[in-house]
Amino acid sequence: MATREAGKKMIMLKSPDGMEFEVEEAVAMESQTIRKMIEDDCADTAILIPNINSKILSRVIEYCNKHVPTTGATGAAASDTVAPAALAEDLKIWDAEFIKVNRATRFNLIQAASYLNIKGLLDLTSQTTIDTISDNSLEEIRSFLSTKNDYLPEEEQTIRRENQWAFQ
Amino acid sequence: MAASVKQVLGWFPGIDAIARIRDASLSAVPGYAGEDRISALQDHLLRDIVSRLPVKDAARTAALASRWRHLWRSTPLVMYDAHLLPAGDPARVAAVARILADHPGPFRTVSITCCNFASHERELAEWPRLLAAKGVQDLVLVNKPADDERLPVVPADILRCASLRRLFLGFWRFPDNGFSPPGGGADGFPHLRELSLFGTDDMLGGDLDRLLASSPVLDTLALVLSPTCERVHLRSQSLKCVLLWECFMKEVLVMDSPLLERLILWKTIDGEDDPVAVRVSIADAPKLRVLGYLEPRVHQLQIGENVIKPDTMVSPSTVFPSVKTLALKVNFGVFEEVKMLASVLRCFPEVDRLHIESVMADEPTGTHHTEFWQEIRPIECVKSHVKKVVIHEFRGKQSENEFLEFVSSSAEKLRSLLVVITREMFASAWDFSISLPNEVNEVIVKAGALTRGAWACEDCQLVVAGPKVVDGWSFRRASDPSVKDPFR
Repeated sequence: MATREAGKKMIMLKSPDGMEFEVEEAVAMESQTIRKMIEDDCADTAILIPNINSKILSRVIEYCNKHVPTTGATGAAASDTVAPAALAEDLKIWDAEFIKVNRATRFNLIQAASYLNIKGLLDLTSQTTIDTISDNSLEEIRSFLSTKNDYLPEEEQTIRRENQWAFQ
Repeated sequence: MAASVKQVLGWFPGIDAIARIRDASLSAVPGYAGEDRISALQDHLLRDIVSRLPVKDAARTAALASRWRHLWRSTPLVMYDAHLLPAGDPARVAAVARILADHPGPFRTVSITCCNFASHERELAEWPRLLAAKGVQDLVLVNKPADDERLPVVPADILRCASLRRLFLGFWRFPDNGFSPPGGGADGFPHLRELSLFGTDDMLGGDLDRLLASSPVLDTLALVLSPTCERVHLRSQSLKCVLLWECFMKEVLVMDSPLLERLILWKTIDGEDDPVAVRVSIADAPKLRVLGYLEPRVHQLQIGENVIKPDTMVSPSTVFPSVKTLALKVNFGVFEEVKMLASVLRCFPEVDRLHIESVMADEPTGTHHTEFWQEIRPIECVKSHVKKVVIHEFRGKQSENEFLEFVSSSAEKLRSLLVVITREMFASAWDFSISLPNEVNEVIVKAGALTRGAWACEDCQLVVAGPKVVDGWSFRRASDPSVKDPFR
């Protein structure tokens, strides 16, 4: 994907640790935040992405590269040649591999997806946390998330009483 | 009734979310130990996570640690009652009541499907009031009717709720003297984009008129199993998609609808053996692209001022060039219907995808169909535009094959001709204990003969296929704008 194809507009993304990434404009515009900057003409040559280090930014770009619609280049819909369901299945498998990262990276990706406003990536990165919380006991969730229970026992009892229906 | 209710429940919005959450497993989570990084996320990110949880899990997060204490209550409510307790558990109604009362709002998505409101008067009075007061945006409110009981009236609070964006009402009755939209004017539902009315009793054409007039941004309307609405007059500056599904109506009028792209009619016919004629009149819908199923047997098509008849001459005022995907149900064995088919096809000169479901009575009548198709003047859409033709419920009858021959010998742009045999034929073909049944064999032999005939196009695929394993006809799929061809 690194080769520059004729006629495709490229854009430079800079991370705060000084790395530069040249990406196709269409790929960068998977981020609604960057799309808005480009559309508002706030992006001449390079866009500085604050708060997202080069390691995370490169993963984000990898995700956008994979998810940029393939129809953009010719303007024609590819749906008649490639079954959309098969394409979606491929992406799902790719996503599952992509998200096999440690927790620190995952939470950094959540923050990056949120700041850059990339809905698909936010959905994907949040899902693992959602799976962790769903259908598990509080103790298990705390342990999975490394969250310390800082309530006094009577405080926790009060909270449980407030939402008793949720603890039945 | 019970069977259709059950089938309908599978179509409710939010069912996907339930399935996904049940699939979730912890095994995919690497590295449990270590620093508490999640608590370092900003509030809005934690709220985003909380809002995606089943409501019970979302509320429980308050007890995790003080960092989470106020998150659920300060997150717009997302509640599917199906996430709470097993269906039929009386505690589910009580839990819904607590949530609606306790959560301060706003309510983003609420789906209530567990309650028989006819026997829950307190809930019937209280819940709609809370839903409206806390600004519900997406609402699924399905009454769970007992057999043969008179449905309760749609709560007035819901019909006055200006915050709604999506509304899905199931098994309610419209008030006898019609409903008055909030404020009585055009701003009744200023944000409502999607309206689905399911199993609605006592709704009349006038009720629908008022709903449309008070919903200035409505883009999708679905009427399903609503037998009392005899006339549907579509007049809307915003509607893009209309589904009329098992509603027995006498008249469908498309008037001033500048954005309408699809009009889908499915089983809108009252009386199988002696059906009541339905007037389908399309006057002003310049963007209409997807239309079907038209049934020449009962639908009396009118374009502008012109009622389309077998001998209608094509003129600029009888054609509708915007339609690209057209679906019809035709009994090829009945000459009147065959003539109407030709006439209707002439009204849509630029159709490129044509679906025809063959509804077969007994094979009657003589040979005049062959002559008819051989002598007919060219039909514009078949000759010059159609790229894909699908014949559903194909049985291999002579009259069906005559139409196939007509298509293959005249369609110059045809790329794909798909013949889908009936479920029964397909099932018998898979029984390997017997050799390929005659009727299936015959379809294949005839198709083979067709390939040796003269084709008008240069390169076309002819496929004989079995029906889809899953019945793909859900009204949600039909209204999904990303599904280009909902008849497939």
